[in-house]
Amino acid sequence: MNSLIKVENLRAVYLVREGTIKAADGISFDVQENSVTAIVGESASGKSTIIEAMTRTLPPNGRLLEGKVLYKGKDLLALKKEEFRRIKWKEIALVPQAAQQSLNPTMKIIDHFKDTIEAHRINWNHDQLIQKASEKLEMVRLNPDAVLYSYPMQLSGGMKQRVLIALALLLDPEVLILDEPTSALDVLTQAYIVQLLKELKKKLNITLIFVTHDIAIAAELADKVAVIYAGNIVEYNSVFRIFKNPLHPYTKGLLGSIMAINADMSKIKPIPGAPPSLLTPPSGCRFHPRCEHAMDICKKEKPPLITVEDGAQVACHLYSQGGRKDA
Amino acid sequence: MNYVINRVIYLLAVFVIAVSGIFVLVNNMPGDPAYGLAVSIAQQRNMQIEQALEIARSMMGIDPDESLLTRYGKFMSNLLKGNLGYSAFYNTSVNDIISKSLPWTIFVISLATLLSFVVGIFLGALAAQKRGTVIEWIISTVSSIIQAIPPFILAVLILFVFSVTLRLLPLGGAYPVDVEPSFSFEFIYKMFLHALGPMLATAIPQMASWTLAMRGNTSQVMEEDFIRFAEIRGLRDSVIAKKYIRNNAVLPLVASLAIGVGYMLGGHTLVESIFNYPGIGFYFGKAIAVRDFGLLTGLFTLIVIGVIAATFIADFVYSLIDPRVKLK
Ligand SMILES: Nc1ncnc2c1ncn2[C@@H]1O[C@H](COP(=O)(O)OP(=O)(O)OP(=O)(O)O)[C@@H](O)[C@H]1O
Ligand code: SF4
Ligand SMILES: [Mg+2]
Repeated sequence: MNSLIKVENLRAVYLVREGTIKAADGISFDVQENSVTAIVGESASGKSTIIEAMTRTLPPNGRLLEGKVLYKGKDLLALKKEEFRRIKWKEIALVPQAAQQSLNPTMKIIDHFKDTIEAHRINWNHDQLIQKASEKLEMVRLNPDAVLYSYPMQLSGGMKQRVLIALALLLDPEVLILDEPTSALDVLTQAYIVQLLKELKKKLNITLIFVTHDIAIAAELADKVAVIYAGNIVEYNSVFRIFKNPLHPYTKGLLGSIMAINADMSKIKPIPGAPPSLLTPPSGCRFHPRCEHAMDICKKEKPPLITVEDGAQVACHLYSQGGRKDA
Repeated sequence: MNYVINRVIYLLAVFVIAVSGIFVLVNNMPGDPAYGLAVSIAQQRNMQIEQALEIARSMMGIDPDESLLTRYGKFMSNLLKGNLGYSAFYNTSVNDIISKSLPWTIFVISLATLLSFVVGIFLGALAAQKRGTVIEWIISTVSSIIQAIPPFILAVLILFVFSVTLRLLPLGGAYPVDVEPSFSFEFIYKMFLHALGPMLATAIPQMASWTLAMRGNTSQVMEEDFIRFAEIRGLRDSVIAKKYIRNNAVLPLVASLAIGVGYMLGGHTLVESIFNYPGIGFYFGKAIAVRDFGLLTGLFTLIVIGVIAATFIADFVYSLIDPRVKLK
């Protein structure tokens, strides 16, 4: 299989008055063509930061320190602004997290489509635009006649989210990145969006990367799951493996606390402690203050993401021989 | 449409309350409202004050035996007929004075509104988009200072510097006394020249307010998620600046345009007096100075009508351009 995107050692921070927030601390992962990758983690673990750093959309106080994002062999982060602009949206589309306020309240939906093609100098005439936009809206099961001439405030949250997905699909991108596509929605709408994404994945030749804090949604949609803890990928494996045989103590804890919902209440084993501050993260393995297996080395050295048996990837000293750093 | 009807009813109520308020106020002022006129009549015609009072009352249409309620009824019915009362000092109907002076005020206020709004929007948007630069600092600081200057002080300043010292602007009036009003270029040019002083004195502080308001709105809109999403879609900065930032930042200001005009009208009263500019404000000032209650009430009513009309127009325009209001 071909990897379409290769993220290498991505490091990004936010500058704040108190110092720097180390929100993405050496992120590396590969994404296969036409696969679905889920980035899973608790709130504030740095999921959005990874997406924003990859797509050069960090907020003004965000800084990319180092790293590469290789897409078809080109480093997106090293491209000139204009070159990147050409790839963005045409080949890689992104629906950001705050989808509910992402449409201009004083513009009809159709004008959002229009502005998008004009930005990319695409010469569709009005009829072509309507036809293309309608096609994409139907793909997300919206009625184009009703939606195209509406203002954002006339649409429900789920409809807005779907409009954004339709907008993202407009130029037939190869990669679609969705940051929390379901989190602001009610449970039924969430299930509906998940269903839609499943359909899209079947219908289109598209590579999906999506962020969620809901591991159940990852289980339903993804081929591979990256588990994020405090700015690091702690485990990156096939969805099957993650659920069947999680490797990292954090992943185990995460699954343990979730599985309990439909199991015996007495078996709930929440992870003790709280996620660390990314302003002054713990030394070595950032999980060590909460880890029941923590060893001396865990406080001193950061465990790298290593490949263990069957190509499974994990960042934990338990898996590097004898607790020593990976050879 | 429902929205429009609601607004009309609301504004009518405001009108009746405001006008009734001024009626009660004036009619409960210490002293006889006809007294001022009576004194001047007594002096002119060399007669007893009691006699003069009677003449004054009849000229002003006041019957001392009438109850307040009857007088109020008369006042309101006159108002409905479009009769705004009688000026004792000028010895003519208020309508007369208004038809002479209102065009000048409308002329100056329109120019001042246009200038202050357009320049304010431009400077405010510029300041917000140059956040953290010297340009923003200069625009903001200067605006904050200017905004606090009362128009009449600016009027005195302009009069002193440009009219008295530099002699670039005329000293007063709406046009030179030795020129006949006509549609000649000469006359229109002079007319603008005479309006310039009062216009600037009124417009400049207001311009500063618009600048600060626009800067605030713009920086707020720039933080919105839909701006970010527009950038993500690869839209050009110029498109984002216009269709996404400016349009959303200006909307609330359009709604407060009427308040701005009302505010300017208030300050403009003194400015016209200082420039001897024969608009409504000039006569308003005179009415206060000579205690001409008839003129005062009439002009006040006119100003209330003006502010209400401005509010209505602004509401209407706002509902036309903002989909969020239109749909309610
Ligand atoms: N603009 C910013 N300035 C300062 N700190 C920030 C900024 N954006 C995010 N952070 C901090 O960086 C860390 C990672 O944030 P991020 O948004 O990437 O988390 P997330 O995993 O996407 O969380 P969520 O599930 O809540 O969206 C958090 O501690 C957050 O407080
Ligand atoms: S590296 Fe150490 S502290 Fe971190 S998860 Fe593994 S065992 Fe626990
Ligand atoms: Mg996030």
